[in-house]
Amino acid sequence: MQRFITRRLALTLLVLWGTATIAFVLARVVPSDPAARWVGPRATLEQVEQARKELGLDQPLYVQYYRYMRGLLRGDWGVSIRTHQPVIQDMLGHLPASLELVLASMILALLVGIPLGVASAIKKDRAVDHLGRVLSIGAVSLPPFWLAMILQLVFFKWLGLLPLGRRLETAVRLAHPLREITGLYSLDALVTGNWPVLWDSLLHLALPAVTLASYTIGVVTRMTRSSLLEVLNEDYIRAARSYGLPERVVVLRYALKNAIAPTVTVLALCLAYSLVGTFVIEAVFAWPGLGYYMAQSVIAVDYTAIIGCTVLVAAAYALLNLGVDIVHALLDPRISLG
Amino acid sequence: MVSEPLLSIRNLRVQLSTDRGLVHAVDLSHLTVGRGETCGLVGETGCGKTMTGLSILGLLPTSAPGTVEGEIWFRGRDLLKRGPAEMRRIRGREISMIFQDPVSSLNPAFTVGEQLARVIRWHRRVGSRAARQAALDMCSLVRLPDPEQVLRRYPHQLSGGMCQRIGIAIALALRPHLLIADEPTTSLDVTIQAQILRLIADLQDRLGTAVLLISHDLGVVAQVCDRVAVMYAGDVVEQGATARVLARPLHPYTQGLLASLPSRGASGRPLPAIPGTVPSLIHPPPGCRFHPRCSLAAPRCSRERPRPRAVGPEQEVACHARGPHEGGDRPDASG
Repeated sequence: MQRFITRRLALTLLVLWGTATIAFVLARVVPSDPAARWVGPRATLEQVEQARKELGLDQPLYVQYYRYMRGLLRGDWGVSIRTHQPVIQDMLGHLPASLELVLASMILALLVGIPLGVASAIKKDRAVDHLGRVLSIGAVSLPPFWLAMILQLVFFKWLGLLPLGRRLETAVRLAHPLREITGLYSLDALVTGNWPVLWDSLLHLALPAVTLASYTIGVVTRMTRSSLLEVLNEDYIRAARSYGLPERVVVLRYALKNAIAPTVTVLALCLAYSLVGTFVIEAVFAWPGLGYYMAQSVIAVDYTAIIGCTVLVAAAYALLNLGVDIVHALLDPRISLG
Repeated sequence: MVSEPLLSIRNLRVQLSTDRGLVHAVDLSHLTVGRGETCGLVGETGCGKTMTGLSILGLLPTSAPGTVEGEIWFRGRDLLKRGPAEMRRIRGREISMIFQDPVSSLNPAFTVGEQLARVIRWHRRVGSRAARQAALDMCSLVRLPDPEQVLRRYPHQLSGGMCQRIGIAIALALRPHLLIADEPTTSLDVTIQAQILRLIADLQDRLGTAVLLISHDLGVVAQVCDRVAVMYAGDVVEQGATARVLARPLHPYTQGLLASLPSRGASGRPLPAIPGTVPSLIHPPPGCRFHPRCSLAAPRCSRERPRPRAVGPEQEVACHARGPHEGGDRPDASG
């Protein structure tokens, strides 16, 4: 197990190096002058030249590449052209909001998707199955911005139950100051026992989390259903029934443990994708997450921020896949990690 | 069959709807298994033996919805009229089953010890320690070497023979009255086959369990069975005491089956085969299902289904060409 993780981590570094290189090259071939953007529209030619020197853009490409890579390794990911802040600091500032949203939507996807998938498989071709099919195909095919606005219309405008956007109500935040530990407001509030903030943050989380979860719920439901149906046809399931074991043990223990692996895989992929793939949802709900940050960086051709986000996402994918492989090995003893 | 038999199947009809049409998988006029006896159910692959076994347990495949009609009497109850909850109590506790592929019949994601102990815990409502002890006892009963070690293993870490011993241990853990053994040795090496057969026979003696041994191998059946039932295209065509049926087969199909076995005396000559092929169970032939391949077929055979008749005290045959008067004769088996 240890050898496997070490080897996979080494492989991950290789992937990250490749990603950083490709991102570096792509950011350089885009027809845009970072130095001009750095000093702003009203700068003189001298100021632009000065900025070019400061940013190291006057050096040959391989020197720039060398400096960039050295910086990545040392934790200096460059300074954002747009915000003039270190990229690392910018990303760490936006990460907790993203993580809170993504984790909430994953928990939602697990709590809804897996039971719905199991129910659809057991009651194949019955009402639950049809309902599950309609729900999941709908959830996968609805455009998130549309779903987001419909939810806002219903729950904010008509019912007045949930807030329109943002992470906390300013009044609540001022009345009950939150001691930030992780930056995930709901989690911090829970840990520090700050109940008004916890409630308010959950209210704010509800709509964006549901919007983000809808796609994952659809995929998880269908995946769990098909995988479970396949396993339910296995010899050992018939054998377990022949021993007189109750259906609940047969399905939820014997079958599900064998059927859940593909679900874990898609869940991890959805999670990694959601980290930055959510800028539409973040924009609609004014949610200051990584996706929003990256979208703004792209518009501003902020190449240091773009490379930074790209490397971060690649790292998230690589680590989540490593996690998936470990979970697979825990689920199925026939997989040996070596 | 002096006292009431343990298991008595009457007019069992199993139909399964598949993509290719309605399959008349089983159309069995009658089959009995006495207390503590070993009854062999032989026939070619696909003749409905396994379906018969699964219908007894009420476990027909869920992938092909079907209908089951008739009566399956077991210890004074008709199993086909029991509810799912009662069938669940009967399964494992009174009737259990071992399967053709011992490795794939064990759950790959749990150790064999967990699987054995779970069945014991569920049925006997005992704690994990008691279940573990009972599991160890079962292991020594099925003669597994080093049970402590074996119980910690996963199925893929054990050989087919060891997995089948575990399968037998699970099936017999609750001391059922009837064990349905569906080709228990087919996927095993020949040497292991003999060991497993001896183990089943031995445990049957010790525990008094009746065994319905499903097999396509007449040799296996001849070795261990008290009685034998020969199945063809969904129905039992002949049944009786093994010694009697094998020595004096009356149904033309049984005769053909026996004649096509390689025997020591007849080396050098090609083995006789039954002409024709096994009929489709989607459109089974009318009348006697064997008549298209039968050398004795008469016009009546394609119209009228022969009913099983007793020929002598320990033999029954379903054939128009064989009357009760033929019970003592040596029929023409040159076929």
